[in-house]
Amino acid sequence: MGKTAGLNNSLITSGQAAKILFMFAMGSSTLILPTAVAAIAKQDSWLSFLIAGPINYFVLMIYLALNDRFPRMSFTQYAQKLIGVWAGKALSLTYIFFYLILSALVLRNISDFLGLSVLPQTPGWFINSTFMIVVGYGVFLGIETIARTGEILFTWGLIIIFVVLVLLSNQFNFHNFEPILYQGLMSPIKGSYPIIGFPIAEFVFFTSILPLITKQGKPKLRKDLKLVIVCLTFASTVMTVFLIGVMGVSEVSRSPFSVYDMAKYINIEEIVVRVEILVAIVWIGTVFMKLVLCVYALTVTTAQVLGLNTYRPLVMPYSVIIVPLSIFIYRNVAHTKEVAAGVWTLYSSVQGILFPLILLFIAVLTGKRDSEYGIFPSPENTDGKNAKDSPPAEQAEARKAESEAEQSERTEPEQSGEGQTEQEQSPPKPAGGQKSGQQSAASSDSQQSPRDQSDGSPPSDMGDQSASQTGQSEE
Amino acid sequence: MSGRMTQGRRKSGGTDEKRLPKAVKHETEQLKRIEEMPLTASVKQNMEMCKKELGESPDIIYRELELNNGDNTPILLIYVQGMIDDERMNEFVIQPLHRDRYDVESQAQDMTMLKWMEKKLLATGIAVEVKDWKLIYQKLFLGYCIIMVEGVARAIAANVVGGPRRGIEEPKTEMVIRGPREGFTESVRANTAMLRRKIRSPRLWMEQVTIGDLTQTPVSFMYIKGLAGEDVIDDLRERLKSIEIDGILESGYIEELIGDQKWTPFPTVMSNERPDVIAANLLEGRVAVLVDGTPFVLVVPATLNVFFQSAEDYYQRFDIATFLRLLRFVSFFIALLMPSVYVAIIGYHQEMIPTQLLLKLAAQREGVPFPAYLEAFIMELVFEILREAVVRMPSAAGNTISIVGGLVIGQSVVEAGIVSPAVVIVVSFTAIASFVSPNYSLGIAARLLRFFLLLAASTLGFYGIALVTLFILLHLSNIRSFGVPYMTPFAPFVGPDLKDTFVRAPLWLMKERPQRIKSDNKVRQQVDPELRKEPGQ
Repeated sequence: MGKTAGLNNSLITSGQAAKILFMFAMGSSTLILPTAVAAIAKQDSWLSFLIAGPINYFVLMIYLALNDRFPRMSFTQYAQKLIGVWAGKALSLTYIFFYLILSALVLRNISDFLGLSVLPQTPGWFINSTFMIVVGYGVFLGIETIARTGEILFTWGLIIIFVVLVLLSNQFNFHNFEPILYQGLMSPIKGSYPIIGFPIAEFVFFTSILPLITKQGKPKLRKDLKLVIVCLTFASTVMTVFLIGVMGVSEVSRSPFSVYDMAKYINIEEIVVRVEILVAIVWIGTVFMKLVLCVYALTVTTAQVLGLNTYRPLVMPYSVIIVPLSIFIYRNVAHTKEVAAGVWTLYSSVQGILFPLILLFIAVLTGKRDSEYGIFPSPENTDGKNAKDSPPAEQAEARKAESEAEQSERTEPEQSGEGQTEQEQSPPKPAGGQKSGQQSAASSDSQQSPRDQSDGSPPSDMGDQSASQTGQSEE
Repeated sequence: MSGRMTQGRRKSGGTDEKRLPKAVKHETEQLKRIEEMPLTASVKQNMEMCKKELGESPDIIYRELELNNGDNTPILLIYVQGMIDDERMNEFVIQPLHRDRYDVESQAQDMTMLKWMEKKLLATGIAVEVKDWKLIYQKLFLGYCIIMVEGVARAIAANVVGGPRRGIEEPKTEMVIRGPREGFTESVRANTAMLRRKIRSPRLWMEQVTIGDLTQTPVSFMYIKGLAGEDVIDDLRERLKSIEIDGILESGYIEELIGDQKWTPFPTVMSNERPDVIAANLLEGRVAVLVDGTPFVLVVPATLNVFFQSAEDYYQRFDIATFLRLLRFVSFFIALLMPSVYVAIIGYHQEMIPTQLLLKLAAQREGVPFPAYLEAFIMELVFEILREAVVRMPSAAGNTISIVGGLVIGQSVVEAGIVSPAVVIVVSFTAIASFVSPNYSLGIAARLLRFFLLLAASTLGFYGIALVTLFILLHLSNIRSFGVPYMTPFAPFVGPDLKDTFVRAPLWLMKERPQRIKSDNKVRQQVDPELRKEPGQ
């Protein structure tokens, strides 16, 4: 390996991570979510999306806090550190099942959508399998490629959505929003219930991505994520505003794929008509990203539970499982709605919010932290054959040495208790808080062991905070 | 990574010993043995040996002379007819040998006869002493003249390279309205000189390797020291050295052998025959590979964006350049997608067409026996055949073909009701759009992928197009050129580099070189701080 080796590690920048998070969220939240929300919150559903905005970040905070304690490990790996190997593996199994179901659901969503609105005569299994081939290819190529593809789709998706919204502006009717808050504030708050289950709790896939973010990207990560959450909230709110403004509440809550139906309203001088297929293409892109990330998290988690050193052999079998699973997981679209509104939020909140919170709690109480490299499959496998060049033991050794060398630099996560306190008290200036933490650590004893630092007051602070987070997210 | 590359390439390199037939292997061995033999002191013996080895080829001239030193020492000149400049040979080698005396004075200065020739006699730019046959043959077939003297087991190779060469002409592949008119030639030295004439800096460095067991082709690579990334240079050097092949006839061989990705329709190495383009790339920190025998010079690392840049973009004002750049991107997408979008709309999404147009199209298609995708497929194929025929034909016959193809087929196929006029329009427009791309090799990718997209569109409509596009996008995001991701600066997103992508920002805004070529020096323009000071300060 030459000097270019650094580029070949499968590491992604914080910007890329933020963008794929956006794509992941848009994948479902634009496809079927508005329908579910509008059924509850009626004309105030756009407020639900605004309310859900901060919750997005609080859930991410749990993952980030865990990631600060175990910067190089994915969920499975620190679960095994925190609650023991076997209990950790058992917990990971629930996640494997969760990701599997999620992948099947997402695949079913897109094939339902395509079957109902674009390709009514094409059999579902054909759409599913063709889509899965491309998804499998993407997962096989690795996270770097996925992230880059996500970046491109992100830009194009935003452009097309913007164009569609501009084209729709002549159909906008403000009367559709009246009366505002007719049923009081409770109705939009209730409306955010499906949002918590739908994209937000599913963000738990992000725990597989977090350890892959470059060292340079880590300090910027919180800022980028905040930015992207703002963008996400803005985009979904604007989208809902347009949905209600253009179609009216009753239309939105009846149509299964409301944004697609909204695009049918586009009519510019009888020339630009029925361009909803453009929206469909954007969706294919966002849902594709969501599915790729789900399957990636699925295969990587499985590989880590099984102790494999690459996830690639799992892509093919899982694809073969997901396609039939997606066909019989629902009976029909009405069933989809039922599950999405009723069951899914509970289930995914347990997986995406409750379990990580418990783990964080345990981590804080026991004060465990570990900046060792997890046996993560990807870094050594961006170029699959690369790993064969040098024996894995040697690489692992090199890694270990590197991580040890970095340990002194990595004061920021070690100080996370303190750093975070500051940060959470003053959210607008996270970088400052971190920096001061870093500086103080650098000036004080950098060889201090992590354990020494964590048995002071900071852990209890963290505990309080996570409790407050729970409170907020359960509202 | 580079390690993996090397291994892969070795396997694909042409002359794997095992794969050669036995007889050839035997001969190669014999040749090697002779090449390693030393020169003898006898001119006659050397001549016999040389004649035997070169199969008495009549174009190799053995000119016997006698030295003007009293005892008429025999001298032998060996050269290849046609590869040397006869006049220079006569004037600077043969005449001095006849005229000058090898006198005692030189001997007194302890100068051997060969040294005397080299230092005092020969009036050529390069004259080197050679000791073994291998080197002699190398020089001989480069167009040097080999001089042997009786009693000395060494020889001198004097540079009298000449012979007919194509002059500098305007490049045929990338025409410009404004910009330099010169193009590279087939001689690597002339080409490197052209680059030196553009970048007169001591930091323009060059390295040379000889590739090809039989062709012994000189391959040079040039870069600006301090601008080009050291790892790219190291990587390139390593890759060039690991090429094992019998012959390099064109830079396309090198392009294929050093590329990062073997299975891709997209070019990961750029080639161009314009010195100004290559110089501009050198200035951005890339490395140029010049191969003897072809005017096409390679540039690495090449990202997708590079293939949309034309020399003229920088010679015109930025506004029109930006417009043309956008036009080029749009044309690329048209060339790639138009037939498949047409097929998808006609076959699956008729609702997208405005009613008036739909009625027109439906009327046209009435009586056409084939479905839309088959029509499009046939016409695309016909077009590709026409194109290939016109490219290969002598230009006189080319006109006939364009008349037959364009008028006869285009018109009568519609009149006979075999295909609808809309398809002919779509295919012709696609064809025109595909010629907009300034780089031929990127056009090839569009040409090939068009058929896959057509297939997908005919089976799954827009969904199929979206799927194949996603597939292509994944592939594009995955490939690299010398370690640089191919989609840079779009993904990984490099904000400042976007100034030279879809738009060509004004030169006064592009103060920095592209960042992701890993060049070591970023600043391209710097205003002297002294000039910035206000007069009063």
